[in-house]
Amino acid sequence: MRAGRSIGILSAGILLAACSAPQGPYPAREIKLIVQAAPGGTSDTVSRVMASLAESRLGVPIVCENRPGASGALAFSFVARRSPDGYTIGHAPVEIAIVRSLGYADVGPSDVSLICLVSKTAPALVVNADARWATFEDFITEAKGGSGAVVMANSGIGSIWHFNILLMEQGTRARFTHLPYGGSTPALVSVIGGHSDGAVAGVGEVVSHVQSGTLRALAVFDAERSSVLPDVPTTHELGYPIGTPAWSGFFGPAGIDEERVSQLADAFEMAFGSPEWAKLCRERGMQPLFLGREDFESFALQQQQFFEEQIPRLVRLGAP
Amino acid sequence: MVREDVATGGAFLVLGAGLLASGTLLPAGVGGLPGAGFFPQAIGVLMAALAASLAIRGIRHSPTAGTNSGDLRSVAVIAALLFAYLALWGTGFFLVRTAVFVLLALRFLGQRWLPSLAFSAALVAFVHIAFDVGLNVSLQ
Amino acid sequence: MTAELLAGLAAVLDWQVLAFLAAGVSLGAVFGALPGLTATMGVAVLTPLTFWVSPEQGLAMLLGIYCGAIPAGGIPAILINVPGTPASIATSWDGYALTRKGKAGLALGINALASAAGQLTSIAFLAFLAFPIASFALRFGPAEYFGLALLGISLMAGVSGDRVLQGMLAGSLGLALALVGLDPMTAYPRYTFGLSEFLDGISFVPVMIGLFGLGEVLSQVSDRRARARATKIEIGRVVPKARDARSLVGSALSGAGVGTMVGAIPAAGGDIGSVIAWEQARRTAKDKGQFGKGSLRGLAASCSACNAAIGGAMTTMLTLGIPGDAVSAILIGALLIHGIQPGPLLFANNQAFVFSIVFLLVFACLMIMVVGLLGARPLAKVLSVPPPLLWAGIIVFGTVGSYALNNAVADVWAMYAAGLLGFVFRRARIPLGPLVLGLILGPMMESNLRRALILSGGDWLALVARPIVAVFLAAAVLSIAWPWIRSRRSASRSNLGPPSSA
Repeated sequence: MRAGRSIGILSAGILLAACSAPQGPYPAREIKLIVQAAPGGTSDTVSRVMASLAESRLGVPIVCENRPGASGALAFSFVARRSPDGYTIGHAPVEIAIVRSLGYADVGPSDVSLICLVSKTAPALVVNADARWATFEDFITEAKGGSGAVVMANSGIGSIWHFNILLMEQGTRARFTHLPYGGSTPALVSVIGGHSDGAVAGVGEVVSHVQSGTLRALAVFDAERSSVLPDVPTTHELGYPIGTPAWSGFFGPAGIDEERVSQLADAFEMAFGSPEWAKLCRERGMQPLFLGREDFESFALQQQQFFEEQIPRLVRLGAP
Repeated sequence: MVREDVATGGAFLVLGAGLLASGTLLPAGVGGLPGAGFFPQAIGVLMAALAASLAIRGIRHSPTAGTNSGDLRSVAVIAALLFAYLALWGTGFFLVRTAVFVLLALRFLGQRWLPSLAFSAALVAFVHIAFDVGLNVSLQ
Repeated sequence: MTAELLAGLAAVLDWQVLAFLAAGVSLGAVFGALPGLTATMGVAVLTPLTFWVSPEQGLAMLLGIYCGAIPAGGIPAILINVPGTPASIATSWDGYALTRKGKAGLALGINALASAAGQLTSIAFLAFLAFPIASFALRFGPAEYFGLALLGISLMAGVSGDRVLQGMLAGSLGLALALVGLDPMTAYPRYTFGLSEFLDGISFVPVMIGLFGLGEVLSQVSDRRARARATKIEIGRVVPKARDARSLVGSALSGAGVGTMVGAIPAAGGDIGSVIAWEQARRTAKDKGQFGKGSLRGLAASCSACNAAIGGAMTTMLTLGIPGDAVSAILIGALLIHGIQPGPLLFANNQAFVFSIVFLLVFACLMIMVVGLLGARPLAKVLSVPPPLLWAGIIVFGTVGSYALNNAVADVWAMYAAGLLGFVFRRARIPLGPLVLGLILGPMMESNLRRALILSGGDWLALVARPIVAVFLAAAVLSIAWPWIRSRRSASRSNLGPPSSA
């Protein structure tokens, strides 16, 4: 009788505690990771591999959901509108710092909770393997003629690699004829087929073609040499400090509890240290780079500011 | 006069003219290179020309027998059901809503209660297994 | 060479690899047969699972999905007039007409056999002529793509049957709808009404499901007789008679040739290839009037071509390391995960692996052929379901499938809007085939014409000076002009006296 009563009180107490607690333990159910690109691409692979590595640390499944469209703007605004409970997060590529400047959606790094950065990918300038230019200088010299005779394929107006071509024009005074394609792959195919002279794309996208001898890399737009293209000089050593990389990170809606953000960041940091992640980075030509919440925040905000200044100056939508 | 051809031609003539007019508001292009507005205008001209010739042919020719009269009321009801089904997207209980939609549609189309119930249950179960579980699509 | 060939065969003749292949083929059949799920989606969804198995096993699974989905896509096209994947649009033209004539079994049988013929022919091309095909594909620059797209668009007249003007109008509407979104060349938004959902244009697969699936359903709902129709199943024979079969071999083989070439060209796949093959078969046929109304040869050509595109796309992928279509783009990613780099080096250094891919494709092709032939009768039983149940099924799968593509409700709205459009077009007896051609080929034509003009410095005549382009343009002009010439001739003949044949 007494025992029964005390059990009753105890269970009532537990019930009360469960109800009145402002927040239960986190994470208590599956976390959804929104990917801004279609299944099968690099963003998707990065997200899925990271998710499967991080879920063991968190103890709940991380389920990826693809919401491609408008350079990622659809996915960014979708995540930004979710409730900031830490159960909906998103993959944050460099485009999150770009889409507002292009007018695709009113969202940027300053409107979300940034979690962490896991990799970056430098741009590389490639030409056909049989092309007459052996060095970056040769290429630039010819393009400086001003006739626009050198044709540069790009992965779409407003894309990160197209933007790097514009930075290259600005930094070297070269002038190209721009040939826009709908992505890096068709742009590279156009160079392989000899229909255009050069292209700029991520190191990871060009490395297989360089190794199989269909493309030649003239420069990597970075301060340090790429580990997958160690023989290719960087623009910085050639005296042109140009280029801005692509990157991969994670974010959530603004206002996620700081404790939860650090839990997520810790889980991704553990995943970052795994051999699987190192292997994926090697295969895809990405540079593993971990920035925790605060570092990622200052990096992403700086990127946002950079693109907000440069894009209106360099990219003219509506003009070829 | 073939009313069907005149109606089709008229509708497309309006559409083509609209395309042509809106195309002039888009960038025309620079230095001999067509811009964003070139194709809308070209397609508008093509559409208007084809539509005009269809309409003219329709006015000249005598009607052929056998125009199809159909049960438009049923189509309107099904379309309204579809609209309601989609307008409620994202409000939760997707499977229940789907079952209700299928049940209502089947009853309206003259199916008996029992087969309708059984079929909507089976369909919803299959959707759940294939899409919710198999493909991890979050249907709400 | 022989040693590599045997090594490749040995790697495949392993029960685990074959089990993965069989699993892939079955899954692919499901993805292909359900409207809204495509081969691309199947391969993309299953790719992460293959990270944890051996390259041969993973590749067996993915190639199985690819080879299983495309023939299976023809099944709903034939039975309920809803293409299971974009590649089987042309299959529905003759296939569904056969079903309405009570020859569903024969249509499914020809789909299975012609698909196998297409796949096997294209695999043979891959095994023996990979490099010549690849170098042909690489010659495709902007001007050539423009020519190909224009040729495809010119087929609008041919696929409109006897309602050419209405068909061309539908085609121009397809071209107009394809304008929605960012201008492919300058990223200037066109007809987006300020909505981010429209920036990438209208998704093609939901529109296809709407036009053919929902549109067909609504049109049958409006037909009181269809609803009340006593459900009598007519399946008929599955394997064609020897006499028919002989005449079909030619269509299937020429379809396979067209499909392989178009498939090898990056960014042009089975959807375009099968329409071109269908029109080519029609042009060379004596019974042109039968095409679109249940021609066995038209069905064989289109089924064979959309499957031959698989071998073509694989050829470009393996020899050059560039994707021939959306599926091979994902396959490249999957191979990279296993440390295998497709490209010229693969052919030089790892010939055994290339041969094992060839054998995997052959086995997958045979498996899906057997499934298709054995499954024809049970699958055709779907027709015995009371029509309203079938309609509800099409609507629900179409809805969920459209959403699942991109997890976007906007795509479901697009599907419903396309359904209403399809219904209106059916009532006004406007052909839908040209609209789809316009949607697929419009962006390809526009962006490549403008690219070609950038390269030629605004000189339009320079485009025609390229031989491949000139051939395409001549063929395009001919196919536009031909129906007019023919109707003129038959009109003048009918003025003189009663026509000799209808």
